[in-house]
Amino acid sequence: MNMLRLEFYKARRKHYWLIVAAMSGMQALWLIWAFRRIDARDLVQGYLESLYQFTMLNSIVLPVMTAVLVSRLCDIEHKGSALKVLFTMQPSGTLFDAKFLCAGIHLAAAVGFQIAVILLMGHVKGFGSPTPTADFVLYFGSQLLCSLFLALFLQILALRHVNQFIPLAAGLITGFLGLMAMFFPAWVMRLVPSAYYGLLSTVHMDWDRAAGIVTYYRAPFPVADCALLTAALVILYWFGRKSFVKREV
Amino acid sequence: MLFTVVKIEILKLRRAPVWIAFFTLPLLAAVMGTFNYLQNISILTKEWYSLWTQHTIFSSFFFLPSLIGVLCAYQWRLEHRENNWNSLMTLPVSAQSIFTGKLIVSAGLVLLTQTLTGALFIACGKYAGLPGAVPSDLPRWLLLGACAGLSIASVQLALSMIVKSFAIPVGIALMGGILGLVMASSGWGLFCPYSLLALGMNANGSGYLTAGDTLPFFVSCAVFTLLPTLFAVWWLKKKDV
Amino acid sequence: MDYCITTDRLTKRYGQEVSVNRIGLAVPIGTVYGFLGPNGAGKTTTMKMLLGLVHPTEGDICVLGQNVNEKNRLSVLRNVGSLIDSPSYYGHLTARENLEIVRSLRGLPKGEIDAALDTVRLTGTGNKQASKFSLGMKQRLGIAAALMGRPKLMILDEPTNGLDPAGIQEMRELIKSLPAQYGMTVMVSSHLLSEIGQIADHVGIIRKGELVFQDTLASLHAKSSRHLALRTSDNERAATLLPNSKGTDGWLTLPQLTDEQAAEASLLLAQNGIGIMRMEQREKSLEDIFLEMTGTEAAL
Repeated sequence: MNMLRLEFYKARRKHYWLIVAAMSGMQALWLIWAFRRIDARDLVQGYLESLYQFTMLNSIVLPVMTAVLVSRLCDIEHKGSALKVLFTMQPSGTLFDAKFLCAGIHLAAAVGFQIAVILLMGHVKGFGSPTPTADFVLYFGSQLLCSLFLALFLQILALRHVNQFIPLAAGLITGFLGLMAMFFPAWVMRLVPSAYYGLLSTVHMDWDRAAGIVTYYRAPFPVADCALLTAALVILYWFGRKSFVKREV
Repeated sequence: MLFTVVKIEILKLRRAPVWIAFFTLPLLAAVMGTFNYLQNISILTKEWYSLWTQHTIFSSFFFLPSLIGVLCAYQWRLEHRENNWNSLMTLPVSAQSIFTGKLIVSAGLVLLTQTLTGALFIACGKYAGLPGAVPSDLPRWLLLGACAGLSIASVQLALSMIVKSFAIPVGIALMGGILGLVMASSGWGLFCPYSLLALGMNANGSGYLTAGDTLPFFVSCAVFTLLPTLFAVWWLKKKDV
Repeated sequence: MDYCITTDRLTKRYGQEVSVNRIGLAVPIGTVYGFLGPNGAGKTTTMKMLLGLVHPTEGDICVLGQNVNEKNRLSVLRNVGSLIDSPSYYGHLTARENLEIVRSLRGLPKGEIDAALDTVRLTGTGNKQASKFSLGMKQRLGIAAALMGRPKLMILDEPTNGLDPAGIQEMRELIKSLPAQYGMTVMVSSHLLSEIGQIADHVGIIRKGELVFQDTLASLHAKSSRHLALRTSDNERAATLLPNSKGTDGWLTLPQLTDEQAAEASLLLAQNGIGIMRMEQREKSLEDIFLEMTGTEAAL
C-alpha cells in the first residue's frame, strides 16, 4: 500500500486525472451528440443503446487512453533515471505492482464515469426501461478487465523502453485492430486484446436494413471468453513482472 | 537552408521506429478492411467505393491523426531531451526553418502513407476481384487526404513543441478525432482540422465533399496549416530556452 | 583490518566484451576509498554490481559483512546510500517532495528530510521544482537522497560533477567529514585526481576492467620517484660536470641525491664558476602516477 501511495505521490502535477477526465469527457460528449435526436423507440432501449455506443467507443478510446496514461506513469522513472535508486530501496516487483494498480484505479474511474454518464442521460432524457443494474455490473467488469490487460501489456513495453513511442504506437495499433476485429468472426476477435471490449459485451445490435430499424438486445455473458482473458492477464502478469524484476539497470 | 534543415530532420529520424508504424497502419487497414468487405459483400454493394470506406473510415478519423500526433511528438521529443534545445536555438537556422523543416518531414511521411494506402487499395481491389476500373477519384482523395494530414501535422507539431510530454499530444489527437467525427457528421467538418482527413479522403464513401466544397476544403487546410505554423514561429522566437 | 566491501573475482561480461575482470576490492571500514579510472574503465559498472543494479557474470560481493545475494540485497542496501552516474530525481517535484519519497521507502522519521537538505544546503528551495534546479543543485539533491538515514556506507559516482569550485570544496569537506562524524565508509569515484588526492585514505585504480592498484594513498605517493631539478647560470657546462643530469626546458634534472651528494654537486658547480639559481626537489603528481598506471592513451 505504501508503494501505491507513493505512486500517487509521484503523480503530483502530472495531471493523470485530467487526461482520463478529458478523454472520458469526449466520450460523454459523443453520447450526448448521439442522443441529440431520439424518438420514443430510442428511449425504451436507451440504456442498452448507451452501453453499446460506449462499448464501440471504448475500443477506440480506451486503448489510447491506457497507452497515454501508462506511458506517463512509466516515463517519469525513465526521465528521472529513478530506477537505479528505486531498485536499491524497494523490491522491483512492488514497483511493477504499484504502477499497474495505479493505472487500474484510473481506468476503473474512467469506466465508472461512463456508467455515471449513462445514468445521468437516462434520468435527463427519461429512458423507458428500469435501470439495468446487472448490465452495468457486467459492463464495468468486462470493460475494466479488457483495459487492465491492455494496461499490463503497455506497461511492460513502457518500462522496458525508454522511448515511449513504442507503447504509444502499440496502443494505437492495438486499438485499431480491436475496432476492426469487431466486424470479424468471434475466433478472430479472441486473438486481439482490444476486441474483448466488444466480445465481452452483453449488449448486441441488430440492424434491419430493409426496415431501417436498429434493435439492441441482451446476450448471455460470455463466461468462457472472460475466463480466457483473465487467464491471459494472469499469465502475462507473471511473465511481465518476472522479466522486470530480472532486468539490469 | 530549408533543404538542409529537412535533410537533417530526416537524419534525426534514423533508426527511429516511426517508419514501421506508418507502414503498419495502412497495411493493417487494407488487410482487415478487405477481409471485412468480403465478409459483408451482401451489404456493401458499392464495390470499389465500399472497399474504400472499409479501408479508410476508422483510420482517417481516429488512428491516422493519432499516429501523426505520435510522429510529431517524437520529432520534438528529440529536442526536449539531452539539452538539445540549447543546441537547436544556437544554430544559424531561423525559427521558420526549424518548424517548417519538421513539418515538411511529417508531411512527407503522410504522403508516403497516402501512396501506400492507394497502392494497397488497388491491390486489394484486384485481389477481391472487383469489377470495373479503379475509381478515378482515387488520386483526388489521396491528395486531399495528404493536404489534410499536413494540417493535422501542423497543429500537432505546435502542440508537441510546447507540451514536453510525449503522450499528451497523442491523447489530444485522438480527442480531436472524436470531435472531428462529430463535426463532420454535423456538417461543420471544414471548421475542424481533425475532420479534414476523412472529408478529403471521402471515408464515408458517399461524398462528404462536393465539387463545390473543394476550394473551401483547401482554404481550410491552408488556414489550419498556416495558423499553427505562424504561432509556432512566434513562440520559438519569444521562448527562453 | 575490517572491510566494509570486499569482492572476490568480480567479473562482468557483455557478450564477448569483458567490462570488469576478476577484481578484488577491499574497502576498509571508516575510510574514504577513492575509486579511480579513466572513462570506460569499469568504475560505474563495478559500483552498479555492488548495488545489485547489474548482475555479475561471476564472483562474490560482501557488503557490511554479508555476502550479498538476491534474497538479502535489499536488507543490506538499507544501510547503503548511493549516487550513480547522474542524480536521480523527479523533475516535477520539489526537493522536499523528492526526499519524501526516499524517506517513505526507507521508513525514516520526517526530520531526516530537513537534516539532509540542511547538509547539502538546499533548504531554501521551497516550491521550486527540481527540473528548474541548476546542475549543481540537482547533484546536491542526489547527495541528499543518498545521505538520508545516515547509512553506514555511501557509494558515490563522481559526486562533484557539475559543482562550481566552492561547491567542490564543500563536497570535499563533506565527504571527508563523513567517516569521522558519522562513522560512515565512503566509496567515491572521480576523474578529478586532485580531488581524490585530497579526500581519500585508500585508493583503487581500475584500468580496462582490471584493478591495477589498491592500497593507501600514502603508498601511491611513495610510488612517485623523487628527483632534483637545477637551474644554473650555464646549464650546458653544468651538464658536462654532472654526468647523470638531463636537460629539459631550461632545467637540469638529477636523480634523487642524498644531502651530502647534493652539497658536493653544488660545491663542484660553484668551484667551476657556475652559479646555482634554483635547486628544487620534485616528485610525480598523482596525475602522473595515474596516467602511468592507466596508460597515456587511456587518458584521452
